[in-house]
Amino acid sequence: MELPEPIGEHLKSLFVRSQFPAYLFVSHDGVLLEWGGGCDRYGLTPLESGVLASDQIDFLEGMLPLEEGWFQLPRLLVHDFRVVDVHFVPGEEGDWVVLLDTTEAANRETVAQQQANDLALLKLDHLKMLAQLRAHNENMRAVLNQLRLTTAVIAEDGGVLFLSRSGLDLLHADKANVEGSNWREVFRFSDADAEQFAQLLEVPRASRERLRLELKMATGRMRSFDIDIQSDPRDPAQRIAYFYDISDLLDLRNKLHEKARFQDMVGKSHPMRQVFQIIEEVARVDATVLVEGETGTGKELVARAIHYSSPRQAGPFIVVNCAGLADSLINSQLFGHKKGSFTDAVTDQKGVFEAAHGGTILLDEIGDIPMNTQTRILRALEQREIVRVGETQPRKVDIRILAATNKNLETEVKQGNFRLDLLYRIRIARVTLPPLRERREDVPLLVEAFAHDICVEYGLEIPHVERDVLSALIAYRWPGNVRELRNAVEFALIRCKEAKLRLVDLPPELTAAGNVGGSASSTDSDKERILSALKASKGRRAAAAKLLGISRATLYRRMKACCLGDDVL
Amino acid sequence: MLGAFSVGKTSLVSRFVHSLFSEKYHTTIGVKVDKKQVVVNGEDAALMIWDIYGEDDIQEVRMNYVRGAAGYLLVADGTRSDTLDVARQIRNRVVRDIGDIPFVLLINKSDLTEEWEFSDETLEALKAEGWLTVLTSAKTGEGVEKGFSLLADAIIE
Ligand SMILES: Nc1nc2c(ncn2[C@@H]2O[C@H](COP(=O)(O)OP(=O)(O)OP(=O)(O)O)[C@@H](O)[C@H]2O)c(=O)[nH]1
Ligand SMILES: [Mg+2]
Repeated sequence: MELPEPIGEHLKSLFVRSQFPAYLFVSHDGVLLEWGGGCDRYGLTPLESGVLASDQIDFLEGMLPLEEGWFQLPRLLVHDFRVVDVHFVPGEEGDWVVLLDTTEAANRETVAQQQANDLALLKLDHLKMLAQLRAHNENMRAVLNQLRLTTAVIAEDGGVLFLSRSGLDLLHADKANVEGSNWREVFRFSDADAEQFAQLLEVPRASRERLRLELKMATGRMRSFDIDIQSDPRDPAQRIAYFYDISDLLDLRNKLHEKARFQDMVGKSHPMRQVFQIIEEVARVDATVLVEGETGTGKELVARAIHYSSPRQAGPFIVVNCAGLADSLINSQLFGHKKGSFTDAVTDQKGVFEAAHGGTILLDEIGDIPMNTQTRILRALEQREIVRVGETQPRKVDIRILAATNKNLETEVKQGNFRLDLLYRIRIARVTLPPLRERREDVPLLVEAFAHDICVEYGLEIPHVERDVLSALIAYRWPGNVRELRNAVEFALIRCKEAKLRLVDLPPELTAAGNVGGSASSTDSDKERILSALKASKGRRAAAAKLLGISRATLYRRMKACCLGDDVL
Repeated sequence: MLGAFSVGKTSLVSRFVHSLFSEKYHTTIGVKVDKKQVVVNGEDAALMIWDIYGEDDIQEVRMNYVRGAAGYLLVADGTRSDTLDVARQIRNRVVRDIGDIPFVLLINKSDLTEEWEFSDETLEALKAEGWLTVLTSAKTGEGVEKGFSLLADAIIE
C-alpha cells in the first residue's frame, strides 16, 4: 500500500525535540506513519507503519479524527501499570501527532488516592455499623467505648453526660471533669463552629445535616471532624454526637491536590514554599512570566505548573528549546511560513505560536534567541498577533508566553545581546528558582521522592538509605542541581545490590574527598568532573551530560568554557 | 464505565472481558481501555470499554473521557444508596456536555443482599423514568452479560 504524504516535517521535528517521551504520527485517514520515543516502554510496540493505528493501539479506536483540534486525555493506563497523559495535536492537512507524556506525580497519586478511598470506605462502614447498633438498641455506651470513634451524649441543658474513651484520649480530658460540664467547655470549637454545633443540637431530626467542623486539641493543633447528631433512642431530649476524625483524609486530599498543582516539584524549604506561592499567584493572571534559575533547577516544571493551574489548562502546553533551534530556521519554526518563502519551504506551515493557540508556550533558554526573532516575539506579545515568514497579513493568536533562562538577562542587555524592551515585557512577573545548595534541607525529601519513583519504574524494592549516604548527598554542591541529584539517585539505586544504599553506590564525584563539603567550584574541578564523566561514558556526550545532570547544550557550553575541544576523548 | 468510587466498575469489566473477579480493591487512576468482541443482532462488533476512575467528593469525572463514546454504563453500588445520587449527577453532566446518548444503569454487588440499600420503590421509580436498569454482581457474574448487551443493543438502535 502506498503511504500517504508524511506529516509536516517541521512540526514533527518540533515535537520530537520537545519533552514528550513518546510520539506517534497518524495520517488524516488513521494510518500510522511513524513513531518513536518511549513507545516500547509503554508496551505499544510492535507497531507497523502503513497500517491503521487503531488496529494496533486500543485507545486510539474511535478517537481520530477529532473535531476540535488539540485534545488532552489525562492519566491513561497503558500496559497495565504505566500512567501517561495523552495529547492529540492536529498536524498539517488533517494529520495527527499523538504525544504520550509521563509525569512522576501520577505514581504517587495512585498511592494517595487509594488511601483516600480506603479511608472513605472505612468511614462509611463505621457509620453504617452505628446505625445498625442504634436500630437494635444495643448498649450504646459500651459499644461506643470499643470503637475508635469519639462520641458524646449531651443533655438538653448542654451538659455532657458521657464522652467515649477515645474522646477523652483525644482531648486529653478527665472523665470526672468532663461529665457534667457544658459541651462548650469540653469541645473547643471556634465561635462560628460552636454556633453551628449548637444549632445542630436543637433542630428537629429531619433537617439535621452532617457538619464539618474543626476542634482544637490539647496540643493546640486543629483537627477536622465530620459530626453527626442523633437523638438518644432512650431519651429523645438527649443527643448523641458522633465525631468522625477526617484530618488524615483531608491531609491526604491536600497532598493530592498539591501534587497535581505543583507537578513533580518537591520541597518544604522556605525558598521553595515561596516559589509555590508565586506560582499560585501568577497562574491566575495571564501575564508573561520569566522563570530564572541555574541549569537543572526545574524551570520547565514551574512553567508546567503555571500552565496546568491556569485557566488555559485545557489548551496546549508547548516547550520550545530556543538554544536548540538553528538561527536560520527559528522564525519559521516559531511563526510559520508561506510556501516558497525560502528554499525548503515547500508547503505553507504553521508555527509553534499558532499551534499553541488557546494554550501556553514556554520559550526555554530565551537568552539564546537572535535579535530579529526577539523583535518578532515582542510584537507577538504586544499586538497578540504574528506574521508568518513570507506573509504580510498578521494572524491573531491567543497564547500565554512563559520564558525561562539560566543567564542573567540584564548582563545580556548590557552586552547588546538582548532587547531591553523585551526583557521588561517578559519580566512582568518572575519566579526565581533557588539552586539546590541553597535549600539543602530539601535533599532528604527529594531523595525519598526520586527513590520511590525510580523504584516503581524499575520494579525495585526501595532500599534503606544509610545515614552517611544522606549526609554525603546533603553536603555535595550539586552544580547540576535537582536534575543531577535525580541522576545520582538513579545511578546509586541501579548499582545497589542490597536492601541498604551505601556510600560506595554513589557516583564517584560525590565521594571524592575534594568535593564533599566543597564550596564554589573552580573551572579546574569542573574540567575534571567533565573529563571523568566523559571517560565513564566512553566519550558519549549525551551519556556524560546525563551523568553530570546537565543538558547536552550545557555540557558543550561548559566544555568550551574549560577549553575542552570537541576532539577530547 | 461511569460512577462513584469503588462501586465495581473495574470489577464488572474484568468479569465481562476476562471472566475474573478479585475481592481486592485497586482504585483506578484516569482511564483504562479494554476491548471485547460481541455479537449484536447476529453481527460481530467490537466493544471498546473505557473504565474511568470513580467520582468522589473531591474530583468529578472529566467529560474529556466521555467525548466520543457511543454510550455508557452508569454504575451504582446497591449497598451504598448515595452512589445513585452520584450516578444521577454524572448523567446530568453527560447530557449537558455531550448529549443524550444511550446508557444503562447497573446496580452492582447484588450478591450482598444483607447490606442492600435499594428499595423496590426506588427501582420502580427509575423504571418509570425510562431508565434501563439491571442488577449485577461482578462477583457471581449475575446480570453482567445482560447489562453490557442491553447497552450494545441500545447503541445499535
Ligand atoms: N461482593 C461484591 N464485591 C464487589 C462487586 N463488584 C466489586 N466488588 C468489590 O468492590 C471493590 C471495588 O471494586 P472496583 O471494581 O475496583 O470498583 P471501581 O468502581 O472500579 O472503583 P474506582 O476505580 O476506585 O472508581 C473491590 O473490593 C471489589 O472486589 C460485586 O459485585 N460484589
Ligand atoms: Mg476502577
